[in-house]
Amino acid sequence: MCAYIAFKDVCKYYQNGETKIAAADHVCFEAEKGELVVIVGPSGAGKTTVLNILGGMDDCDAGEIWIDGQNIAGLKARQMTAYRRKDVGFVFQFYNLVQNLTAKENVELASEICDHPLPVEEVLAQVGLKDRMQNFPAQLSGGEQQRVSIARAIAKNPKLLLCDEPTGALDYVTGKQILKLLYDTCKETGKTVFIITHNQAICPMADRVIRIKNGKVQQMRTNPHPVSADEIEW
Amino acid sequence: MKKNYWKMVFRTIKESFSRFLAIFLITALGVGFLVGLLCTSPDIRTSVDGYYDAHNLFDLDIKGTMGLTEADVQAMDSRPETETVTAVYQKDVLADNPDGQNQVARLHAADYTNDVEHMVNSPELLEGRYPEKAGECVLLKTPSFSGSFSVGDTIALHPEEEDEELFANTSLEIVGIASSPLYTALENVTSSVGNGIVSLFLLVDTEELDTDLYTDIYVTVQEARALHTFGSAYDTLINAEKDSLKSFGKERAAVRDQEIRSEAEDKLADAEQEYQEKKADTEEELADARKKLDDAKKELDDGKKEIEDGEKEISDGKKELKEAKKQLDSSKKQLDSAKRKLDASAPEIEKIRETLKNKAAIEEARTQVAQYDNGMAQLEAAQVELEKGQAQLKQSEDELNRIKLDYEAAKAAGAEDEQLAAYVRAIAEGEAKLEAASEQLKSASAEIENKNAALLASFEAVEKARAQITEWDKNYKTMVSAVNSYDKAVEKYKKGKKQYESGLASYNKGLKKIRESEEKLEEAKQTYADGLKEYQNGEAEYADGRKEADEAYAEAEEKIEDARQEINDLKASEWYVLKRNTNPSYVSIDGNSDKVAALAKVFPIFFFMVAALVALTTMTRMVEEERVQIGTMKALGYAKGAILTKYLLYAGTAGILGSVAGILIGQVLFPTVLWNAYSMMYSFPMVDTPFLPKYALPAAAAAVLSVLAATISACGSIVKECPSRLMLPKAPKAGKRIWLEYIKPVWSRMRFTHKVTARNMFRYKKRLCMTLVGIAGCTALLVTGFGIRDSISDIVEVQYEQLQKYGLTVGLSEDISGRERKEVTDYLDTLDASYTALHMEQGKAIVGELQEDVYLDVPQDADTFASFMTFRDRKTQETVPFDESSVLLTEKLASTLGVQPGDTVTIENGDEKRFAVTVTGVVENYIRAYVYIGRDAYRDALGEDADYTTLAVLCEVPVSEENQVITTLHQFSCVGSATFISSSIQSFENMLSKIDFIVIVLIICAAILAFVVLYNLTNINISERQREIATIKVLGFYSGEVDAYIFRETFLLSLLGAVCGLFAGIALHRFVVVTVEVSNIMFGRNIYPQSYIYSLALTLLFTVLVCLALRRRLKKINMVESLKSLD
Repeated sequence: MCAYIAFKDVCKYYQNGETKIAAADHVCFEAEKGELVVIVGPSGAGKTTVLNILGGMDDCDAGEIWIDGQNIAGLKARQMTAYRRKDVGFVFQFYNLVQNLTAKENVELASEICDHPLPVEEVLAQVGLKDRMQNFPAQLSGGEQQRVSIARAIAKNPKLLLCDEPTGALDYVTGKQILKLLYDTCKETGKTVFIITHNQAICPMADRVIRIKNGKVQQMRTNPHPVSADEIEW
Repeated sequence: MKKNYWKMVFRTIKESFSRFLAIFLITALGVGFLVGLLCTSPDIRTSVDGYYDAHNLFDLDIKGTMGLTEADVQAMDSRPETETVTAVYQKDVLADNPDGQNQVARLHAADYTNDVEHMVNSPELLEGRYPEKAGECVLLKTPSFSGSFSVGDTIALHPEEEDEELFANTSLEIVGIASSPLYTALENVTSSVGNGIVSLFLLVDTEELDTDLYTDIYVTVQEARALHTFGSAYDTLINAEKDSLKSFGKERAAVRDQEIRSEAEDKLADAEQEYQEKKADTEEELADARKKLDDAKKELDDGKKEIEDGEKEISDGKKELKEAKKQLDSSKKQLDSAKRKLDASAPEIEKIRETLKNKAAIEEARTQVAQYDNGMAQLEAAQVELEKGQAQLKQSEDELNRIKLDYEAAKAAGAEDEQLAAYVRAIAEGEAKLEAASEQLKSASAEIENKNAALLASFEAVEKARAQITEWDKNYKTMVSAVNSYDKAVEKYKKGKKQYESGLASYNKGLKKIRESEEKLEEAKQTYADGLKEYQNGEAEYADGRKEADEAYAEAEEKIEDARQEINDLKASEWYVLKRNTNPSYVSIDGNSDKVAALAKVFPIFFFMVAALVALTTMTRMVEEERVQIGTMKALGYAKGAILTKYLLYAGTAGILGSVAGILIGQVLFPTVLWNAYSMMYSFPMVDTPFLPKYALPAAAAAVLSVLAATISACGSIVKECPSRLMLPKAPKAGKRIWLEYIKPVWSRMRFTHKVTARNMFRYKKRLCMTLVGIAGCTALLVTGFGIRDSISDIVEVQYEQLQKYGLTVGLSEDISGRERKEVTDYLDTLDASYTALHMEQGKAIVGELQEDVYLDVPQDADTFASFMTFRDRKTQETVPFDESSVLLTEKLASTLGVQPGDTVTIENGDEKRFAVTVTGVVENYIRAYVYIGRDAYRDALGEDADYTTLAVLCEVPVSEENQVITTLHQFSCVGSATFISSSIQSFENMLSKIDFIVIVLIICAAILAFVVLYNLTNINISERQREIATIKVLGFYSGEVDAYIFRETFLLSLLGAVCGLFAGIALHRFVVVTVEVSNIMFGRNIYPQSYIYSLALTLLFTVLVCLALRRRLKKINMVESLKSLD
C-alpha cells in the first residue's frame, strides 16, 4: 500500500542543444493525507519541476506519481485538466488574480468549474476577507490578494493545495500571516498542503520537509513537532 | 542612426511579426483600394483611347438621308481638316446564321483587299482573311456575339423583295473573323429589320452589294489622334469640325437631291413602260387560255349529247328486247301447247296413215266405175247427138221449106233470074243434105241400141264399186285432211320452233349488244367526267390567273402611283454628322469609368480610418510590452525623439511597405478586376495599368501619415514618462465596474465567465473601438455589396412589373393613315392586347442652368394611360393623380433639377421649341427620366396639339414569341419601331452579373478587413492576457472553456460590430448607389432582408475563421507562464 501521495523515480529531462539536462532525476518522496509538506531547495534545484509535475501542469518522462491511489503519470491532456480541476488547488507566488473580477468572483471562477465546491463566502470569511469580497484585486493589498488566491484554491475543495512561494512577493509580516493561514487550513480542513519555497526558515512548521538539490531529493524527513507559523522567523 | 539601433528595430519587427503584418496589411488594403479605384478610371480611358487610336475609330460619321456618293467622299477627302476617309455601305438584312437561327445581319461593304490597317474603323483580323469578292464575308466578333460558328460556315441572307437586286450573292461564306472598334460594347444595335436588333456584323466586299452609294462616310480629323478622346480638347476640336461640316453638308446634299430626282423620274418612266408591256403579255396569255377552254367546252358538250343518244338507244333496245322476250315467251307457250296436241294425236294419225295405204284398190274400182260412167256418158252423149241431129234435120227441113217459100215469093215478085237460079240450087243442095242426114241418123240409133245393152250387163258390179268408192271418198277426205292437217301442224310446229329459236338467238344477241353498248356508254361517261373536271380546273386556273393578273396590275399601278407620289414628295436630303458619342461603347465607357472614380471617394477613407486604428492599438500594446525597455533606454540616455523614432520606424516601415504593396497590387488588381467585370460588355483588349504617381504617391503619403500619427498618439505619453517609473511594471489596469453591473437583473443572471467577458470588452476602449469600426466596416461593405445587387435587381422588377406595366412600345410613322393604324391595331387585337396612344419624344427639362435629357410622354387619354402606368410616390406608395392638365416628373429628374410640385420647369421638345409647365407631382421611376404631360397642359403650353404616334401596348406575349411579334410588326410599313421591354430587362440582367463580380471584390475586401482587425485584436488580447490564460488553465479549464473564455469577447464584439455595420451599411449603400447611378437611371434604395442576413452570416463566418486560426496560439500558452514573475 502506497502513501497518500507518492513520487516514484520521477524523471524530467530538458533537451538543451546537444546536452540533456535532468530537471528531475529519479525523484522519490511520499506524503500522507493532512500533512503540511515543505519542498525546499535553492533556485534551479528542480523544485518548480516537481511542482509542475505534481500540479498536473507538466508531464514526467519516467516514473509514477500516485495521488490518492491514482497514478497521474501518463494521463492524457484532458484527464490531466480534470485532475487539476478536481484535485489540485494552486496558490501562486504572484496571486494571479483576474484583475477584472472582484475577490468573490475570482473565487467563484474556480468554484464554478468543480464538482463539490465549498461555499465561496464562507471560504472568503475563513481567509479573513469577509468585508472585502466585492473589491477588485487592484483595491487589495498583496497579502489580501494572496488570501484571495488561497481562498480560490480552497474553494475547489481539492485533495491537495500547492503553494508556489506563497510568501515570495510579500513582506515579512504578511508572509507570516499567509503561512499561518496555510497551516491553519491544513490542520482545520485536513488537506494536504505543499509549500514550495527556497526559504529554509519555513521548514520548522512543516510536518514533512523534502529538500531538493540538482534535481534530486536530497533529504526527506518528518517533523514530529512542527512549530506554529508565528514562531518562525527569517 | 546607430547600427545597433536598426538591429533593434529589425529584431522587434521579427519578434512581433504578426503585428507588423497587421499594420502592413491594413495599409496595403487602404492604399490598394484607393490607388486601385483612382487609377481604374484613367487606366480605362487611356487604354480605350489607345485602342481607338490604333484602330482609327471615326471622329465623325457622316450619314446622308439619301445616301452618299463617290463625289461626296472625294469632297470630304479633299478637306484640309480631314485626315482619313472611309466610305461604307451598310445594309441590314435578315439572315440565317450557320446555327440556323434567323437573325438580323448588318453588312459593311467596303474594299478590304488592301491597306485595311489605315482604314477608318480599321478592323483587326483574328482568323482567316478579308473578303475579296462577292459571296465572302468576315464575321465581327462583338461582345454580344454568341454563335458557335467559324471560318468556313455560310450565312444565308433573306433580303426583302425590293432589295433582292442589291445583293450579288445571298449566301455568304465566312472567310475570316475580326473585331471592329465600332462594335465594342454589349449595348444592342437597333435596326428597322426583323426583330429590330442586329446580331450579326459582317464585312463584305464592295462587289457583294450592287450600289454606287454609301450610307456612311467615316472620317478621322487631323490632329484628333494626339488628343485624349475623353478630354475636352478633343471635344472642342471635333465640335469645330462638326460645325464647319454643317454648311458643307448642305451644298453636297443639294447636289445629291438633283441626281435623285432625275434618277427617280427615269426609273418611273421605265417602270411604266415595263408595266404596260407586261400587261399586254399577260392579257395575250390569258386570251389564249380562254380560247382553249372554250374549245374544250364544246367538245365536252358534243360528248354529252352522244352519251344521251346512246342512253336512249339502249333504253329503246331494252324495251324492244323486253317485248321480244314477251313474244318469245308466248310463242314458246304456244309451241309447247302445239307440241302437246301433236303428241296426243300422233297415234290416231298413224292409224289413218295405215288405212290410206288401201288407196290403190280404190283407184282400180274407180277406174272401173269411171269406164262405166264414161260408157254411160258416151251413150248419153250419143243419144244427145242423135236427138240434136234429128233436131238439126227438122231445122234443115224447115230451112228448105222457107227457102222454097222465099223462092215461090221471089218468083211471084218477079225476082231476077239469077236470084231465082241461086234459090233453085240452094233448094236442090238443101234436099241432098237432108237425105244424107236422115241416113246417118238411122245408123247412130242402131249403135246406141247396142251399147246400151252392154252397159246394162256390168251395172251391178259397178254399183258396188261405186258404193265402195263413195265410202272411201267420204272418209278419205277427212283422213287425208286429218293427216294433212297433222303434218301441216307438225310442219308448223317445227317452223314455229325454228322461228322461236332464231328469235331467242337474236334476242340474246340483242341483249349482248345492249350490254356492250352500255359498257361503251359507261366509258364514254367516264371520259366525259374526266374531261369536265379538267375543264373546270382549267376554268378555275384561268380565274386565278385573271385575278392574279388583276391584282398584279393593281399593285403595279399602285406602285407606280406611289413612285410618282414619292417623286412629288421628294424632300431635300440632309447630312447628319455624328460624333463618337453615338458609339455605345464610347458613351458607356465614359459613364462607367466616372462611376468607379466616384467610388474612390468613399471606401478608402474608411480603410484609412481602420488602418489608423489598427496602428494605434498595435503600437499601444507594443510600447506597453516594451515599457521596461523604453525605461532602460531612457536611463541609458537615449532622447525622447530617438525612442519615439523606433516606433515611428516600426510603424512607418510597415506603412510604407504596405503602401508599396497596396500600390503594386491595387493599381493592377482593381482596374483589371473592374475591367474584367466590364469586359462582358466590351471587347477591348486588356487594360494597361501603368504606375500613376499622380494618384499613388498622395495615397501612400496619406496612409503612412495616418499610421504615423496613430503611432505618435500611442507612444507619446509613455515616452514622456520618467525612466524610474517605466522600470517598474505597469500596474495592471484596474478592474472597474461597468454600467451593466448596475442593471442587477441582467448582471446577477450572467455567469461570471460572461461577466469577465463583459468587463474585458469595456476595459480597452481603443480596441473596442477598433473592432467595432473594423467589423462594422466589414459588414457595411458586405451589406453594400449585396445591396447594390438588390438595388439593381429592384430596378428591373419595380420599373417593369410595377411601374411601367406595358411591355411593348410601337412607334408609328408620323404620316400614318387611319387605315394603316387600323391594320396595326387589328393585329394587336389578335394578340389580345390593350393599347393606348401617346406622343413620345426626346427633349430636355431645364431649370436655370441645369439641363437634363428627358423623354416627354403626352398620352392621348390620361385616364387610360394611368392604367398602363403606376404613378406613385416612392416613399408613401400613394398614387399620384394624373389627368389632362397634369405635369409629372420622375423622382431622379426632380431631385437633380431641385424641383418640387408647384415649381415651374422649362421643357424643350424635339423640335427645340421651349415652353414652361408647372409641375403637379413627382413619381417613382428608376430607368430614364420622363416628363409626363397631360394633353391639355401640353397644348396650352405649346399652343398646338401633339400627334399620338406611339402605342403603349399591354399584352401577354411569351418571351419566346416576342421576336415573331416584332418581325410581324415591322412588316407594316407604318411601324417605325417596336420594342419589348424584355430586351431592356436582358441588358439589366447582364449588368447584374457584372455587379456580382464587384460584390465578390467587396466580399474579399471585407474579409481581409475582418481578418486583419479581428486577428490583430485577438492576438493582442491573448498576448496581453497570457498570464491570465495560463492561470485559468492551471485552475483546470478545459481547452474548450479556455477558448470560450477568450473568444466569447471576440464574438460578442464582432456581433456588436456587425449590427452597427448593418446600419452603417444602409448609409454606405445609399451613398454608393447615389454616387454610382448615372443621370438616366435611379437605382433602388432598398436592401432585401436576406442581404442583411448574408452580411451578418459572412461576418460571423470570418470571426469563426479567425478564432480557429488563433486557437493554436491559445493551446501553445504554457501553464508555467503563470508562475513567472511579473516583468
